[in-house]
Amino acid sequence: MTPTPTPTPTRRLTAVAALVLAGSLLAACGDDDEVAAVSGEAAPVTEAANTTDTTQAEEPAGELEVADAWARTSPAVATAGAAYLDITNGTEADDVLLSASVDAAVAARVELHETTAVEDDGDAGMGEGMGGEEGEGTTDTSMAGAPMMQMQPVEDIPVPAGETVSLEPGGLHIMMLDLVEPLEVGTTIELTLTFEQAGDVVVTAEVRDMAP
Amino acid sequence: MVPPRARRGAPVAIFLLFVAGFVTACGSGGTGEPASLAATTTLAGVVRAPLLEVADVSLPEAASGTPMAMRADDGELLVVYFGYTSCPDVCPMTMSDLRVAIEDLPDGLAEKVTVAMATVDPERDQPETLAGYLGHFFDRTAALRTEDPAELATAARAFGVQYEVEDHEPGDATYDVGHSAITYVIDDTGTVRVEWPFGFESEHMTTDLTTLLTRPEIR
Repeated sequence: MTPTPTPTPTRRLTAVAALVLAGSLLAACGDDDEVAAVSGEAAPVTEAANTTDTTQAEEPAGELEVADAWARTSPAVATAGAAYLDITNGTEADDVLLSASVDAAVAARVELHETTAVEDDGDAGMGEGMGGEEGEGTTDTSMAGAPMMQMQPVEDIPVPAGETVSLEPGGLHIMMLDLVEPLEVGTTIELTLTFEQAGDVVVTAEVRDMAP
Repeated sequence: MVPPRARRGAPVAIFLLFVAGFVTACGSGGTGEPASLAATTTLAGVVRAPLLEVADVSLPEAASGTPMAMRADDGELLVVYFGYTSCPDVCPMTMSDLRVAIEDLPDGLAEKVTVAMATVDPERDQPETLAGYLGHFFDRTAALRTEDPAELATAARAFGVQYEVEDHEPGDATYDVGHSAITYVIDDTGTVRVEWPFGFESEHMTTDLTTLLTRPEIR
């Protein structure tokens, strides 16, 4: 934030990179031809900017960033907790979140999960005890069952170049299983995210009882 | 906002604002169906046609085992959700949104809303667990639990709720449970007046609860 009358070469390159970024963002809203034209011209400049710009922490271009990390546990049975965050891949290469981990003092296992709405396939019926006293034949078929929210592990989470992937309630999330202690609202936990390209990224997640 | 002399007209004005808000909110969301429902019913959530009657449905209150009918006390609302307390992702989101919705109600209305959760996982959700869970979020609660699978299935079916407990070994407490994450708002006649799908915003819950509590004649 120090005012500098004459921009240093690095700063100038940063400005160029920012303009290039702005240009490609604007072009993204236009048609395909414009996008191709802009990225074609911009490529060498961006490359130059990146090579001299690695010390600029506030410059998002060319990095993979994780932001807005928070975690929550169920208030009653705190055996499992979920963590949420946004991953922005500012690089030009696709990346993949391979795994996540926490200190063994927090949880024994961490998995990548996704909650999806499963439509009624007409097979499962409503409720587990379907075959019970009333028998399946009495099911009111005029009323479709509401979709089930079903959580399952996912192998990995792709983060394509230039895109932001949000892990949020009811969708993709990081599941901490076999919590050693309940997560206390107001505390923080450290999550280590392992990416195929970016390697390990450590983020601090705030424990909250509702989304920020 | 409203000048004192216009007090008589205020409810109508507020009502119109609600309608406008709902149409705008749903219109931009891209899901056409709820928008048209909202426009005709003044409620933001989903209103079934015909309305679902659940007065004859009951589930045991967890601690006492006393059957509780799916009907609110006179002039009040009963909010019913089928879920489970080990649920780390979906249920806490709905519960915390619902808590905010109730906290944001105009003065005197929060005392007229009871939140009931029927557990679809009675194996892990012991009565005290379920009651503690609800008590974390709400002042007025009903913990509903049965160990009879047929009784639970009958009640769930009446709402159209589906659930599925993952097969597991006895003693394994890490199994997953899938369930319909719909929130049902029931009046004092046992009629489900509105349903909120998963992810429904708390401010819209607040307006729906306010509308139903202050304008019960709306059908």
